[in-house]
Amino acid sequence: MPDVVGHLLLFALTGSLMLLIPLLIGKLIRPSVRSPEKDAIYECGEPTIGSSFIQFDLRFYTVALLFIVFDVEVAFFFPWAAVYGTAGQLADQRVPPAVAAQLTEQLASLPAGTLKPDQAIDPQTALALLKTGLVDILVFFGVLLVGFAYVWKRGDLDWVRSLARQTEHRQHLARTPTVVPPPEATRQESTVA
Amino acid sequence: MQPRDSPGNRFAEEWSVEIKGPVGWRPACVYATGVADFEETGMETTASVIGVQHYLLVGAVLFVCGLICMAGKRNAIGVLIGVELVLNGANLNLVAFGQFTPLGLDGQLMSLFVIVLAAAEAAVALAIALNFYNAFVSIDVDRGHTLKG
Amino acid sequence: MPTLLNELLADTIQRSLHLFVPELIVCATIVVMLLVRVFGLHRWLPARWVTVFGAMVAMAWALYQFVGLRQETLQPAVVFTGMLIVDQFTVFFRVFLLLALVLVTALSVLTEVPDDDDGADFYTLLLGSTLGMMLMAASNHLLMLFLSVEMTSVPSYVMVGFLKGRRRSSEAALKYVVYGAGAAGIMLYGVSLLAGLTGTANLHELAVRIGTLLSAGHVSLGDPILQTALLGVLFVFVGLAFKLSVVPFHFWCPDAFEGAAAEVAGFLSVASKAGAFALLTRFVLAILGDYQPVEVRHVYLVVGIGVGVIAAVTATFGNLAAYAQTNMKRLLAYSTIAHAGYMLMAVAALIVVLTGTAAPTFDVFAEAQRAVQGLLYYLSVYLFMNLGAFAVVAMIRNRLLSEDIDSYQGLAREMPVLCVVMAVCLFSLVGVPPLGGFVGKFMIFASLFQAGFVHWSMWAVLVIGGLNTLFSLFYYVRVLKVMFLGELPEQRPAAAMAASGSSAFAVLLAVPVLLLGVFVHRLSAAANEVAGTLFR
Repeated sequence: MPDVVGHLLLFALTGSLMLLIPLLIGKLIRPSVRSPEKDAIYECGEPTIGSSFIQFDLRFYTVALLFIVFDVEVAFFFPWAAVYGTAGQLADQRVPPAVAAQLTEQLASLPAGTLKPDQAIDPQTALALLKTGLVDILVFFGVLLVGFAYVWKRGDLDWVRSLARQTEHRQHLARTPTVVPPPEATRQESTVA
Repeated sequence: MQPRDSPGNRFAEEWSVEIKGPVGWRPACVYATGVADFEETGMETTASVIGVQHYLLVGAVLFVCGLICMAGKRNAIGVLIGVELVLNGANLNLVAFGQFTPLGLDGQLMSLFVIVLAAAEAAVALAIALNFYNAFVSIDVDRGHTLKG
Repeated sequence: MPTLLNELLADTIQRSLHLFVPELIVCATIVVMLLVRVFGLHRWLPARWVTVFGAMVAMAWALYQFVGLRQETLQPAVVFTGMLIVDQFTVFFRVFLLLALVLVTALSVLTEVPDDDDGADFYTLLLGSTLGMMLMAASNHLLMLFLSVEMTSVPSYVMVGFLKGRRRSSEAALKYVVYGAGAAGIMLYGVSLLAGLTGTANLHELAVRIGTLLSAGHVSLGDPILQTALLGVLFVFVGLAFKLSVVPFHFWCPDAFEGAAAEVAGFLSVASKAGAFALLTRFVLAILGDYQPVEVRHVYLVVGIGVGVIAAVTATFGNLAAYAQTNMKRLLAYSTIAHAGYMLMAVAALIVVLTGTAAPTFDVFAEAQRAVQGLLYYLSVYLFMNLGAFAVVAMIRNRLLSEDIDSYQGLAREMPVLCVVMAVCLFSLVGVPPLGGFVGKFMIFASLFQAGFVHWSMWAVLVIGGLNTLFSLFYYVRVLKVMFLGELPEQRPAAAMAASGSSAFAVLLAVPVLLLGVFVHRLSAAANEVAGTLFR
């Protein structure tokens, strides 16, 4: 325990020193001639225009939201890939029994060296697992693709949206029964070119 | 109706393998007390002495930070960040328990599902926040005041 | 050689998928609906008909499973390596939730809430949410507990905010998602504590291991193991209490219901609540376990009394807050909170009864079964009466473009059928004798009375529940008084929608409320049998 704490302390100390020392050296040796030019914001040599705290177009967020959803699905591929890869190797008839035992240990997450060669999964079973895995992932990915196609078809991925479609949409809105007056023109609609 | 054990444990039983590590279950104090028990339980110790309690501590810190963030922030995005912290604190717990207790792969699997779910929830919440912004030109949770009573 | 792997494959493909068919049909419906939209066929095949068809098929299959389980041609089983459990309890809720789905879809077809353009989105969310609720009832694993709650919540957030461009709707959705995400996070932390403490995530195993832990002497409140266990259970309760809108976590309910369309609010108040109660029952039975030495029981008794107190506070709060409301949906939201309180009393009675050893003649499991039976009966009646009330609100909204109680003046002269249906539903919500609500409430109060023999505090809860029933009469009657005795104003706005068939639909919802009040036996026998499977 003290070993680890020592290491941690040493690491933290070195880290802070490496940061503080250059700052200190800079403070000591730099000339201090202040001028308004120097306090200006640096923007690639160009004069700055406005504040940097501006709002980006909402369409960026929409794309980002879609990206998050489809991106994270990939997490499900990792455990699948681990099983599928190992099963694929085991399905190969030419793999020697000793290696097969090792692979089986990997697949069943058992500690190394616990299985004897004759306890390995036989190629036929591995093939069945392989096929099931393939069907599994095809179904999963197929459903994802349907969702993606739906989003695409609805025009949520279009960068420039046609105004005609929006007005058509608002006519629909007006038709649904409502208990409050129709909404004010929203920001999103006014920003769309 | 007999409950089934996790597949990993069943593999072990089937092959009647003697496994060093978390197959049999013992009361949780074994896992909670840390260093001294590593020899006895024969779990993965590698070179370090980082035990389950260190992970739990980080998890708990994340959880409390998240709670404070959720309770204190008025900005909807801030609240969502708090939620993510809480979820990740719990995730860390699950992974740590997966490594140090018989929970095993179940822990990792749970955290995997939680990651995906958190992303889905964040996407939905951000979309709703955008919608709110369109109506109120603000994402301050307290600005919503049309619903009262 | 390794037969286990083959067995695992066979278990998943042959047995589990077979018992999982209703859920699979719901999934397939969603995919078909999206494909229809992708290929531009939605003009000929609107999303609502796809939904109705899919839900009907799924419900028929679930009914077939229910009958099969009753006649024992089908065996209850733990499927998908212990993730889900399919027994009569699960299948009962499948039928229940799919029925709610069919009714809500029919209602939204009649009231035309999602227009054709958005139909696919709305019904996808509705189906997805129902799928989550069905998984709630089938959960047998801590992961499924969390996952199903989230699968229910995430689509409901969007459904609440579905009325695009309306300030109230977006505000309601934001409040709902903020509270909901917070509660889910806390619940997950509780799940991680429980899973780590016991080293398992399977609910059956959890029950056994918590029992082992407690009987190993960790029963004093100063003991860190008991503290961790209680904290974990408390955090999971927080997540479920949020879904049930139980008192400290009820803030979202009135706002979300007021901002959402009445159809969505009705669906959330009925189906989401049923799913959450199914899950709560499963979770409570899991932590109570079968294995109970005497010294452990007082720990559980404290939990049971705590749940009882929360139930009493919830019912009282809901009923008191409903008095001041001027908006009908908001009033119904508070009434929903109050009813969550009544139903929670059944759960409290269940816990307390299971710890009981009062007298040798006291049959613990029979009484526990009766508590669950009462809960199931109440939920079944509640489906019709509360959905009926929300349906009438939606139909009146289409006529008056208003949901204020004041605007309902003298409506009985204009829409007599809808107003009579509303009267039936509201009197049933109060619990007036010949109606279904009375029978459900009576069953719950009877099991509270029995639980009182184990601990007197249940009698106190019973008295509070009775007083609440009396309170609630006044605000429901106030609405009816405005409807039936108010003066019809001179000027009415023109009707926004033709209401063809909506009266018939409302009557369809009111009839079961009446029937369940008179012909009690069939459903109560079924509910008793279903409850019995939990204690076998």
